[in-house]
Amino acid sequence: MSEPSREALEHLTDADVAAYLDRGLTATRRDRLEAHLAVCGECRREVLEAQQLVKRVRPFRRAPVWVGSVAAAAAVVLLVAKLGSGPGRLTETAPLVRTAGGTSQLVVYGPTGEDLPTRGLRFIWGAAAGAVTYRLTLTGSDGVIVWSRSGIDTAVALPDSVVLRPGRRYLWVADALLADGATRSTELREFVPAR
Amino acid sequence: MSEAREHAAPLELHLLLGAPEETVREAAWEKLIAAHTRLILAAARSFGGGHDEALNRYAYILEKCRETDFRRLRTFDGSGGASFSTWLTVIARRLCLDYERARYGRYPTVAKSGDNSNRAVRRSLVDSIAVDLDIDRIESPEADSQETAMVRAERTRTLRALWSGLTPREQLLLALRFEDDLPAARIASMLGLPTPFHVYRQLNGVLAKLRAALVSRGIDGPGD
Repeated sequence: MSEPSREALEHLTDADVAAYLDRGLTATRRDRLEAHLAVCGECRREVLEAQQLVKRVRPFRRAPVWVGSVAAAAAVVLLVAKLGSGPGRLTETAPLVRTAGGTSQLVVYGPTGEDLPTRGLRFIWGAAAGAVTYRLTLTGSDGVIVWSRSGIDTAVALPDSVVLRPGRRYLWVADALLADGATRSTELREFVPAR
Repeated sequence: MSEAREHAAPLELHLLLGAPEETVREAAWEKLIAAHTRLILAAARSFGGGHDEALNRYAYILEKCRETDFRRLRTFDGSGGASFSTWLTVIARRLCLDYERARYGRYPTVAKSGDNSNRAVRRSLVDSIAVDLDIDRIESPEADSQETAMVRAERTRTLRALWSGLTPREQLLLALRFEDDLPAARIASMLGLPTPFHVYRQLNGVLAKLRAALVSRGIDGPGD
């Protein structure tokens, strides 16, 4: 009896598995993959397990976007308007209302206030239960995003490549994306690097 | 010949891999991850181990996706027949396997398909087919005379030859049914058949073909 071809002995690549599950292969390619699958229990298991996973995530493939950040941007715009419209100065305790995107529940540890260094700042906030990732957004008082970073830590250091202007007012907000798709955010916080 | 189905890559992926400005790339990365967080989390959770362990895997997936200027993400080919989300699901699962292997040693898998395992699979498959065809019911030692052993060997040889003449899909169908012992519904799902009845119909067709071929070669069940 004939032995399988060399191609039939080669394991499926990740791209092969994905294309097989999406039924996106040409008939010729599908035949080749199925010839391999017929004799390779490891690849069959790979396809079967990947298929289970794809089925599980298919109903919610498109996760909600950072609604908290949208709210943050909206709040920044409102805040900028407020700053620009009068002499009233925003303080750390000033009540800021986020227009949408969930409850402001994240605790802020810093930085806030004035006379802060222009380099080496660390943004630190409290963890949210069930958070899978965080995003920090730093803007100038004009609402333009200066820097942002996503990650799983609740602390992030400002890189040296981002140079803050002494005496300028900056705002930052941290958003948490929770496992259930909801978001939590800090209040907008303000700080001013030392002149 | 039909073309492989083409899928467009998400806009965020184009921006991530192609935009010259770092700020645009960072924003694209964040959007890409935000859009696929549940998918990646599902992959991370599918390996069990509790919340912290799932988050460790999640972080590992993100780290590996970012590695070497998004090298992995650059390998996505929309013309390869897979959608980005299915492809990313498979990649995320693969990275979880890598994580488990790096952390706990080799993740349990069945043997690689070399010549020996191929033979073993086919031998097992042939035996399964033989049982299903009701031609291999030599159960009592006293019945296993030299003559019946020869008949049995001949049947096995013939079945193997017949099996290698089946189409890849027929071979896979038999492997899923007799080697993996999967239910018809699961087989239908894997092969893209509409219902389990289609599986039974195709399975009966293949077995009938094998049975007819055996009969035509003068091999006709345990009594001959």
